[in-house]
Amino acid sequence: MEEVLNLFQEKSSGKVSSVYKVYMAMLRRAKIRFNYKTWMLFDFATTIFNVFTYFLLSFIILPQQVVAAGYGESYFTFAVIGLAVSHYITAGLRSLARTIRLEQFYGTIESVLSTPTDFVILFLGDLLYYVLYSSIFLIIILPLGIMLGAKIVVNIYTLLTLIFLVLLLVLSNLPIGILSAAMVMKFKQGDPIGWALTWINQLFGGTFFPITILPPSLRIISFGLPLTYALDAIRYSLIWGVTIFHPRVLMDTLAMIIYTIVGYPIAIKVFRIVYKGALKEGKLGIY
Amino acid sequence: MSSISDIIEVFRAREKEHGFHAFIRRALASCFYQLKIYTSYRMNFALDLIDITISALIYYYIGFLVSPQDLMRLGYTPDYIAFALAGIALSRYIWTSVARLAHKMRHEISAGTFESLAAADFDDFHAWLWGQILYGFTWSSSVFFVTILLGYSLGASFTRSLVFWLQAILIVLLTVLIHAGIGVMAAGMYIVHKQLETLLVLLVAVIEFFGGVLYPLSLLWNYPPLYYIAMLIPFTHGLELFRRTIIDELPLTHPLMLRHLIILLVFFPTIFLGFKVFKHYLNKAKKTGLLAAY
Amino acid sequence: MNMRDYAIVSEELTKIYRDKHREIVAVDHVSIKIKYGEFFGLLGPNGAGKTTFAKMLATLLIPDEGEAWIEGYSILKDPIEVRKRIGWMMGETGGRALYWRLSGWDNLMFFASILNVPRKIAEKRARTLLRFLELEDAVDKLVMNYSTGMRIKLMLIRSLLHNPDVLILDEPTLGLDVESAIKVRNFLRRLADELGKTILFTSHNMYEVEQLCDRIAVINKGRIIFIGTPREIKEKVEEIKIVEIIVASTDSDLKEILNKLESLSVINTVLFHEREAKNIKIRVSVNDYYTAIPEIARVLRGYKVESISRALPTLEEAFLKIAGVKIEETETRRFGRRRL
Repeated sequence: MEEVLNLFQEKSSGKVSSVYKVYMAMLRRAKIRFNYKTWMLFDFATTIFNVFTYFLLSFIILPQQVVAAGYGESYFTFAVIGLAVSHYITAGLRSLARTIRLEQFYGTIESVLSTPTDFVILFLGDLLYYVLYSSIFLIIILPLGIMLGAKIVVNIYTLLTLIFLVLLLVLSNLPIGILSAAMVMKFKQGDPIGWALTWINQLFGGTFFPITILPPSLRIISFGLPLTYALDAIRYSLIWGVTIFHPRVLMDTLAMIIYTIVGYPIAIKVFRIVYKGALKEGKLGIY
Repeated sequence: MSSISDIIEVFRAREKEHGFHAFIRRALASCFYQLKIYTSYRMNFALDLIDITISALIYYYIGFLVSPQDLMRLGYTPDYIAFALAGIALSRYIWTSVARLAHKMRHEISAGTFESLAAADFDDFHAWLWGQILYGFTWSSSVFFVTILLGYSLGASFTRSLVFWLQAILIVLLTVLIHAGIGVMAAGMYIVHKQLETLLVLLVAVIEFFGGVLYPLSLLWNYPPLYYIAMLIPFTHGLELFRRTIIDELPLTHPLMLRHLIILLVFFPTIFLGFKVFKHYLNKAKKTGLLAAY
Repeated sequence: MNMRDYAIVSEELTKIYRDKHREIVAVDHVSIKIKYGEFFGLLGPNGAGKTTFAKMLATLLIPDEGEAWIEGYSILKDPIEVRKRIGWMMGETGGRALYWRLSGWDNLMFFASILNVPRKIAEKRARTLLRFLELEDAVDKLVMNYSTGMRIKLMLIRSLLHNPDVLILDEPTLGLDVESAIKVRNFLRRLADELGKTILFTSHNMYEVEQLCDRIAVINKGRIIFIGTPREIKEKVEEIKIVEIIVASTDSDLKEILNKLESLSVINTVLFHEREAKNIKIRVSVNDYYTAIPEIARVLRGYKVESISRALPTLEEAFLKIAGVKIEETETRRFGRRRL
């Protein structure tokens, strides 16, 4: 006991940077996930099999619609890029809601909130984890696609453009993710906004087929989704080897930036109101 | 409030149920408690249905890209939406048949309830397992049914003949039973070998891919080793039979069908083998003290 | 008054939980002042408002009325400064407030980082505390494989990593074995004595609180009903005289026995009875042991009396006395016994 008491005689000096805290938050999430090895393996296995499925499917797909949409003749290339990028949707839309649910599930939310570190750090850590996790899929899918014959232009410029666009995709979906997290905090019933938007993105975002196939009345929904612009820009860049300065890619980028600028203030305001309400009601820790 | 005397009176009655009725009652109990757990998460079923609808719609739109001539050249009717939805509908049974039981075992063991189940076991878990299989079948069938309905509403060229639907149901039952046998086997092995769960989920992914859920199997002729792997999987034959029944309206006696039917029947004994393997591993776990280990 | 003069000050702190049908006042205008280095106990039964009060101080709940300060920092205006100064632990969760899919070590290092403790210092403190609480061998195992006691210890270590001046410990010994509980209590006492830490310690164990605390507040239904030293509480408790009777009897004899006891003038009231195997245990309150015990023995002649002895009051009996509520009234309502 003397040893313990001596330890507490000294006050700690030195600071802990926010970057380090974000890293530790990310690490905790990654380690928890890594303990569910089975499901991680399932994720990777189904992803790889999906790539092969679309490879085989591409043998019976007519190229006209893909050409008409401006993505060249290869449906497989089109599909592979969609598959590679689609995981980032979760990072933007679902990560924050999942952070809250995870903390409530483990019962750690109050322990975390009782520290001087802002909850935002935890969010950032989890977001970083999702972005990195999604990037693993990107790193697996694109090379696999290229090996199977996808016509993707890989050079430093297209890679930098890809990284930039992928991060912008995450950022532009975050406002919805924040609203989703607010709903979860308030109602503690799953993540309805997150689920709904994941489905909408899958169907209307242009992941598996060009949105030009959709009837005009449904195409309007596509134009309301950041993913549509992200996929269009990324595909155009990787298929034709252009960068962000190409007019088409630039327009898509601007659309995502507008989403981000308009969405954030609203989302953060709503979140703050709900958060304060949850602290007042005392239900934050209830799962 | 009951007195002790009241309680003693109640316990004087020592009737017990035996035989087949008791077996059915236990099996149904195993099924119903699982259904109760599932339905206590109110959103679950709604989420599952929406998920299926979105999947169906995705492949509906992909169907506009598919070449009908290529599909015909490969030996199928030129309706990709019917093709894909038939595959999606039947694939709902794979997880619940093959992997769900082992997954369920994991939950029971980690929650500490498996030992209580084992202490109340009168028939080497047969009733409990059949109840779980029945639950899995019920859940998958609801989703299967919705998928087929979606197919009809999206204009898929499914048969409207009751006879062929009866044939299709028979094929579904056969396919499910065979895969349930694999699932029971896997559940038994899981009691002793916990790392098996990883292999099982990989197996589900393999079955779904090689079964030709979303692409014509004949495309694998260009890659013979992959084609042979596909032919070794009972689901592949079940799906072929199912598709040919509800889309092409081929009777079971048709040469195209007989080949797949015979291969499927070869796998039928897995359902009996599954229970034997389960019993073997259950006893092994009891001997080595692994019943509650997770 | 300068709020910095005290480690913890609360003024009319109130928390009301509302739902569609009703309103529950969980904490009702609580005002207390806790000095620096004081070991302060908050004692009350389950649902009394201890945890709600503790959570408000820890800035986890926003009060509906009133305010509080930790070392001069307001829980409403300066919550971050408050959180820098407190170590929080809630034992009532049974150790659930940990990432059970992480090891004990990973849990500690993560929380150390968000508690602003540099890595090297965190490691040193963690190792020392783990050794002290005999958790060192288990530290690399996943928390989901820990017993409840191990998790409680880990949570306690976590609350100390950043060397806070104020500790808010909500039932910290709940779930610990006797030996560990004694160890933890001694340790906490020395933290207060030798390092001047202020400790707010909530518990429903009167004897534990009595043993450890410099002062105790008793809370019931959200209100502070008593603040004083352990000695003052003990004096109050000693006023309650309880006699416990154990008699081997059948249920059919019970009514007769109870009637006989109630007919005695030396007995204030029959508090409680329950069956323990072949015996019945009956607790009665009396004014004087020396007159009551012989009378009880006399009236129960003819029954197989196993023992008649003095007994310590239960917490409930003590609370009721401290709260100034007549034992007879409340016990009658509670046990639904008719007064003859």
